[in-house]
Amino acid sequence: MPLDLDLIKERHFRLEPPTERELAAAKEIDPTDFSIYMTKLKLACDEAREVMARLAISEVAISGDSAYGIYTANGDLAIAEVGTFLHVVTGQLPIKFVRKHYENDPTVGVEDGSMFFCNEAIYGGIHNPDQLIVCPIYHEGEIVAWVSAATHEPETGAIEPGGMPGSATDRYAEGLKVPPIKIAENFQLRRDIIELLENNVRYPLMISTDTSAKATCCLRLRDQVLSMIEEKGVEFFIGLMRRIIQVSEKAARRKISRLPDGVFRQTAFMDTNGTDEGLLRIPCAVQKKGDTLLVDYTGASPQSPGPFNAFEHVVLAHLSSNLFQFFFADLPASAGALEAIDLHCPVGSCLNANPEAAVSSGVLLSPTAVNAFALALARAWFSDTSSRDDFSLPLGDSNRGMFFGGLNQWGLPIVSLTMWGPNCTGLGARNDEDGVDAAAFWWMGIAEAPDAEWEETQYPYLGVVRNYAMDQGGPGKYRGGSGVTNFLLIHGTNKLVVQNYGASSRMPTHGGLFGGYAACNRPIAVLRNTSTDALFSPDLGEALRSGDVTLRRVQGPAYALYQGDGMMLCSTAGDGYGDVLERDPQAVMHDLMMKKISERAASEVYKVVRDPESLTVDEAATAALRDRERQARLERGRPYAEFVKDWETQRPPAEALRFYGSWPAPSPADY
Amino acid sequence: MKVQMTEYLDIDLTDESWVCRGCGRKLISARENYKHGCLVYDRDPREIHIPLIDVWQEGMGYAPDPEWCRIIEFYCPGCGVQVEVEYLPPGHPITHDIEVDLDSLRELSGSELVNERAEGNQ
Repeated sequence: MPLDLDLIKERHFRLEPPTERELAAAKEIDPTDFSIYMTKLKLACDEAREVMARLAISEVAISGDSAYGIYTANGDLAIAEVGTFLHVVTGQLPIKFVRKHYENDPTVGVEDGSMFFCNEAIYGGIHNPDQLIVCPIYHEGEIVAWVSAATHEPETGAIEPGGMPGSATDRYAEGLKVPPIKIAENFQLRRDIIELLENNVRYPLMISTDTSAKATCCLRLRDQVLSMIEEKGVEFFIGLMRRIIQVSEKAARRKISRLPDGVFRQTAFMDTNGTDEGLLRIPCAVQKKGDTLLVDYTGASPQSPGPFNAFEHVVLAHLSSNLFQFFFADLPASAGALEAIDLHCPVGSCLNANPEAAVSSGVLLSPTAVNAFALALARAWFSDTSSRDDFSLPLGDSNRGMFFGGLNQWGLPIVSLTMWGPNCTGLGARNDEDGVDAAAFWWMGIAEAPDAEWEETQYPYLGVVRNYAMDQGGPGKYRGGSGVTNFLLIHGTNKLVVQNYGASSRMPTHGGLFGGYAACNRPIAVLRNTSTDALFSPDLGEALRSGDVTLRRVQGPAYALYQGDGMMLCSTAGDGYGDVLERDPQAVMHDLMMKKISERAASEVYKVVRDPESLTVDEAATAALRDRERQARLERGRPYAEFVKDWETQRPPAEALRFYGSWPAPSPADY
Repeated sequence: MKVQMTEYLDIDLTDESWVCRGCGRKLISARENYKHGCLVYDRDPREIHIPLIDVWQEGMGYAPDPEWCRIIEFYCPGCGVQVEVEYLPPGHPITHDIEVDLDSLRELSGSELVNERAEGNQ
């Protein structure tokens, strides 16, 4: 059977028509019971996340980056709790696939005790490292609900270790891609399917252990649901799920209605297509009308011969991750809320790629597309003072990290990644305070940094330095949250194959908001012959200056590190908010003392005059210096028309435009 | 009535203009891109993003590459406050980032929502 593209093209994540039974049951839900039992379902999802963290062996799952959802019988997401929301949203697809194709197929079938595994991006895997299991819940012989469990597995048997091969140019280079497949019968995992999975990856133990953990989480969720049905009755449970969906949609539409109508825009850029350097344009226009948002990426760069491509439903799943963490943070995480969102990604663009395309790094492209959405939406959201308490710039989106494979210090084969980079991303500034340093994972607001000692016992490196990097958070009246700089020293192995991933080696993806600057980009630094003393200096520049440095672009092909080599990797920071000249000078001094900004930034960017001995601010001199800077702006700034006349004659170098499409705005002719 | 639209800009619904919240300067019609009423400056990004170390290899360093990326700064012509910035490749068109439907905004002005806005504006 060819790929069932209708599943994503026609339906996306739209709700299935509710049944009469569901609608009637929903009317009977008491408001107090609604609150209590919705919370119970959310806690059941949260409990499953804890179960996963204790059973799984992949660093991603142990760090809490996973998601669990509860769905209606027809596969609509009823509720999830904080987690990687995109996975519960795409979890609808394998359920709908199974109901459409397998339920009445006697060679497969669905029974009580069945579970289905999936990692095909078309059917809900986001990209193939994201692997999920869905499980039907039967009551008196009929399916009354489904549950899902999903995590990212850092190995898929692709042409490079790690599951996100930088050199992939089509889907066949990306390794294991499984459509929904019956992985359990009678509540038992099928050994033949586990053997199939193990046989296709470099780290068999991880995929079998973590797959078993997902199945266990589904069973735990099933137990919780059946317990609620036993307590309150099946009609109550069916009605509760439908009511959550209804409330979620109504609340989402109400929130949107409070924004002014109009079109709000942000233009963003990636500086790589995954295999090579080059700009990808990602413009976002948010059209707000009535109670609906249309998110439109017309003008995006074409699909490129690298892994930085995504499918449209993957972009929508990423939108969900942002919405449920920010604008919709006070709503039930349910498919109902997504009914208020329309999405347009031009067919053939990097955001709506051909099914044959490499898409394993679509998870690095989509956050930038979604941060463009978030910044565009912020321009409408800010005017609604009634919901401004929740207002925030998003988490930094040019995610960077490290996959690695080889023999560890115990001589055992390993393939993994470190979550120190992605899970310590800085949150963008708010309109009334700084962003949060080392806040979270872009996809999940409560992700944790991995346990350092645990990591060092598993992998052949020592985390010599984990510190905030200077001048990384976007400058502004309120500073973007810093990421974390990791300096890893390789030991106990004669060779470790490493692939870094991410973007912004040359260009930030976009600016901050209302005059705030972007987070600073940082390439990868490989160091040799470095002084150990210098590594412990709070000035990371001293570590870099003390040895032989080779800069590598963040996204690139795999390379080897050897015993004694060091690698410095900075996680992404958040963007700044407002004019730097309005930043409280005392906040600048605090950042200076905490080594979050440099002396040069305090003087040259924030224009703060201080006594270098006592570290006290000279308020009068600072005010005068800032006044002079404002005057200087008036002198160097040019009227718009005059500026644009010269500006638009410029063009970036040809190598920057190799994947871009037509300059300056790609069109369907490029697709 | 003024409605706060950004940290530094209001829309005055009475004469449909963008107004600086700091100095009261009327920038331009609210039916146009407020950036057309600003002073504009093309900045080398290395002036803002202080390199951690002065290493520059194959066009990469600890600051954006000025050949790929420029910071466009928009200032109020009255008081010099930095109203907005954009990070763009050289020559890329400026983004019209707020195209608000004034009739919708006016319609909302009698609602509870905009009364809350007005309170926040005081």
